[in-house]
Amino acid sequence: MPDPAQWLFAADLGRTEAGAGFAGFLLKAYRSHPTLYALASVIGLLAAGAFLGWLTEVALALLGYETQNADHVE
Amino acid sequence: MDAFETFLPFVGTDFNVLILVALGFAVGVLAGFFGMGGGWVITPALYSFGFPMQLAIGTGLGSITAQGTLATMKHRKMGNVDYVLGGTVGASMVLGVEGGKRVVNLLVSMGLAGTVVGWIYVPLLLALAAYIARDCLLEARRRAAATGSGGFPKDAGGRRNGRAGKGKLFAIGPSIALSSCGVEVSVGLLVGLGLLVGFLAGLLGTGGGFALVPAFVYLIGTPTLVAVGTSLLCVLISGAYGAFAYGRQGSVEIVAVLWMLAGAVVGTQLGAAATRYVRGYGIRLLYAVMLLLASSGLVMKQLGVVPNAEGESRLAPLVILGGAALMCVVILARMVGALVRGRRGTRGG
Repeated sequence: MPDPAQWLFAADLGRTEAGAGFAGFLLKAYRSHPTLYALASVIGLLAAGAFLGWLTEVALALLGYETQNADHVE
Repeated sequence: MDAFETFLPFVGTDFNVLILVALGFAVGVLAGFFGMGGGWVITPALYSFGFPMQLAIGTGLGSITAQGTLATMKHRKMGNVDYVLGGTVGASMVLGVEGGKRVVNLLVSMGLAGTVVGWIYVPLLLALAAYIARDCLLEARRRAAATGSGGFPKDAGGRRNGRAGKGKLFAIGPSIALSSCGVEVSVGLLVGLGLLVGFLAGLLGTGGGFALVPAFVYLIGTPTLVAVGTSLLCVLISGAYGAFAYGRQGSVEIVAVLWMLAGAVVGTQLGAAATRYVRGYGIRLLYAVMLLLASSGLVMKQLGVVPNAEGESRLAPLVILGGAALMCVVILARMVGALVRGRRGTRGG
């Protein structure tokens, strides 16, 4: 049976490589096409905001909660 | 805590993911609860955590863009967005943001961006704290006195609305009709407002909702909910442009934005839900206290109070994030308390 410490090490290594890979990809994309990169970033952020927001709304609705409009507290 | 470190490619260092998620969560709770952005927390907080000012501003704008999308969509569904007003002011804000960004670039080239923008934040946060405290105290005084004795009628959002339905407003040059409040407003006024707020947004990395909402309510006379919804549209337009403009020069840390967004999505929903259960003036006064803490945190950062090995203040990020965390804990604790009391009441009754 493998040593759990080795699993943790492998998992951490995988995480680090994945993180470094994504960071490297972003830097490479920015350096080669900065305008395209910036445009894609903004579109990605808008899409991520809308998607995650929709996801939480659905999750809350499934749980039976209904969120209301955020307004000033009187 | 190495397992929670992530590499931020544009800042060029490892950073703790939990701090980013916590910051996003805190900003989300505050934004959801107060109906006010929270960009003014993100930029000073990231700056106090060691982000270069330009990256703190760009990342703040990116974060506002992502978080603003959901809020704007929600308000659009509820009919709280005046597109004519939002489109005109939002388009002008784009020009203002560009101006603000150019000033930041100039300051960066002079090596003064952190110092100048950091110090600009201090009086701004103090003024915002004073405005909220004053608004809150005036409301309390009005409520204490006999309500409805003259004065302006209140709109659905509970604010007094002195301009609504009064025909032309600042009728200099061409004007446009705003269906949300029944007035014709000078285009020049809206463009001027957009340029000014946009400049601040580009310079400070904030959305500008803190300035737009009172301007829409008190200057133009839009109902409060429409002011909030429309300001969110403006913030979304200007934030998206700001994120693009700063992104082109490599000043938006997307990895940080995504982690903050993960916390903010949950925080925003909780903050919005808390408005049902938590009421009272005390909580708004506490918000003003939190702004004072953020302001003093920035002063500590600028003066390098309790410095670490690099000469950066160790106390500043703790004070800024601690203030926001305290505020969130109070809101959420009061919400949970109200829920528990409600359940006990239901069982008892």
